[in-house]
Amino acid sequence: MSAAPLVAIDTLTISLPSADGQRLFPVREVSLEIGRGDIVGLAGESGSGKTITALSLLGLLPPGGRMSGRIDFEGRDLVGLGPAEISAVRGRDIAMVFQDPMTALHPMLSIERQLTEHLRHHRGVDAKAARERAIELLELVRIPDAATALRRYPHQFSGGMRQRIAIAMALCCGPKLLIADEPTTALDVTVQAGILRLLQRLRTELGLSVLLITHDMGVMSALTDRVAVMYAGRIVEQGMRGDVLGRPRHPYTYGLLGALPHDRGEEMVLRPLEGTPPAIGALPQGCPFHPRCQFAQPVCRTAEPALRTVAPGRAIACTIDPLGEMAA
Amino acid sequence: MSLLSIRNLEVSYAGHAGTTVRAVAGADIDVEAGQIVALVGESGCGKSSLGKAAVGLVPASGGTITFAGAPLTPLRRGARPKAERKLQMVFQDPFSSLNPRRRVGELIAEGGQVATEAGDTAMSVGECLERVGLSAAFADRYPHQFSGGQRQRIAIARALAARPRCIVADEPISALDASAQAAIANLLVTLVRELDMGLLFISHDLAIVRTIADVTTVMYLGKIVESGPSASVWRDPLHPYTRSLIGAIPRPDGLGMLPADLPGDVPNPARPPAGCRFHPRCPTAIAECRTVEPLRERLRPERSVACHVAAAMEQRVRADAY
Repeated sequence: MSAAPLVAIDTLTISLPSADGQRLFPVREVSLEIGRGDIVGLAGESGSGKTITALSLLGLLPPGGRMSGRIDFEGRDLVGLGPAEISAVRGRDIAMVFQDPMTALHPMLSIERQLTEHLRHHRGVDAKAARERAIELLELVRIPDAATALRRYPHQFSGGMRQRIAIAMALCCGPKLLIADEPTTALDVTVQAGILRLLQRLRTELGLSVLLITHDMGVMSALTDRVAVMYAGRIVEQGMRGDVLGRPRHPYTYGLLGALPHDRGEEMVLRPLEGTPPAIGALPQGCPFHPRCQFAQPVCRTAEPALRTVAPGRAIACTIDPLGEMAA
Repeated sequence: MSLLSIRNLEVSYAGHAGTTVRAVAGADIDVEAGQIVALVGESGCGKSSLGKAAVGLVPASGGTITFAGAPLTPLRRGARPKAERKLQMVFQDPFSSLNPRRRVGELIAEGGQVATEAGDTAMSVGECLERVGLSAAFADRYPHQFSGGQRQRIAIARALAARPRCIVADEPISALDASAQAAIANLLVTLVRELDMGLLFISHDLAIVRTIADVTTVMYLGKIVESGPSASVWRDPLHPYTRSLIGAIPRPDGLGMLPADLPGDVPNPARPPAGCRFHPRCPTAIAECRTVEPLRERLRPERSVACHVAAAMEQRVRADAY
């Protein structure tokens, strides 16, 4: 990457209090860079730490949550910011869209009210200018007949249209980074395709950076430039999209992709990844993935592998690197 | 006669201001023993209504459902007729379909009770659990002690307890992680083959359907628009809607291709478009499509499609062959 990245997360560790007074570490030593206009994907099963990593960028940790490390955003470290300072960043410089657009949209308020609220709060814009901007935003996300749409309520739109409105809402203060957490998981594939195209266009037209969180490797493949795969709170593989998805090098990435339907001649087989991810309070000794790993060796049970660079722009956290030759 | 045979099924609900919404507007489906038939389509197309009507959970407003040679009657207050207890259902969300306050063993035994009441022997709790790949020792635990994938296995085990001849599963894997999806999909295939059951598999995920279903049936706005062997439908979809569904699936190959989108939403089933229901979104619609509703016809052995354009194309191909 030539210029300084928009966001540089450096050895971010997040801890939360557990019920018995101990501290749990849902995110450990995560480092990730997002360049301007880049779409970076964060993959992994439920509970791998993807969402909490993203929420930390907005200062939205659960009660008692603590962060260490650095989150460099345009030269500022977000980790040290107080509630008032992070609140000025949240929604203005960094915005988020969620899986279910109804979590972002208020069912009882008109679209106009919801789209203009942030503008008036963050930018101090008057009602008329805010309304014009709201129409512009709806047109940007391709809501037909924007002026009429402003007067309507969320229930009058389909799921795909609601997600477009939620995206418009996230964009209203001109954020530089959009965090999209499973933005298409609740939608039909045909509608999903439209939202993916929209995100791609926003990146091109607005130079928007996107952190895309999804467990759907198809969505990951369609949209991202670079991909990081998380397991048990750590990044286990990171690299260019084509490398990570086309020639996975960490056994976990390999297993995730193998569980998907593939074109392999006439015979179609699904090879599920056996087992479930460990609970964050009860990680196995050594590599957290070793109990599910088809390549595991005795050494994997002793030491947890660090993320190491194995090729330019490519890093994995695996001691034995059994797929190294295949991927190279 | 097929094991489960659905003919010209209609399911209607009362809509706003006295209107009637025909969620299923005349659908035919057959499921044979040992066969997996998939029903796919976007949300709101009527596939869940069809599934519920198939097991009698909602009454059909028209058409017939025949199970094992006898007509199926909608569920009423009284006990379900004995023969119909061999038709079971598995639901999408194993977090809401299993009573959280009862032990797994009790939940499964209750499923078996419908068989014993009918003078049949239920499958034992232990056997049910082992058939779905769980330890018989889990019978003493509660649903909350299991992951989503394991809970869905328990829900399937409960359906198995009555020794069903046919199962209707409504989106049984869509609430699960990708790795669990593959495991449950494989489990269903194994059960169907080993127990010689029929399975009507309702799903919006064509990629999974293609890997496990023998027959793929595509539904749009209450009508079945295409049906045929899964591999053949996938390789050579004849209906433009099936083509759009397949084209919209993003491929996890790392090539960075955006999937094709299908503009527009599924229209309101209370006011379906005239002519072919798909014509407002169809990239290949001709004038006839706006006025004349296409009937589903058999264009090739085992392949049927409801599309004027596809029918005309096939005719031309056949004419050229002579």
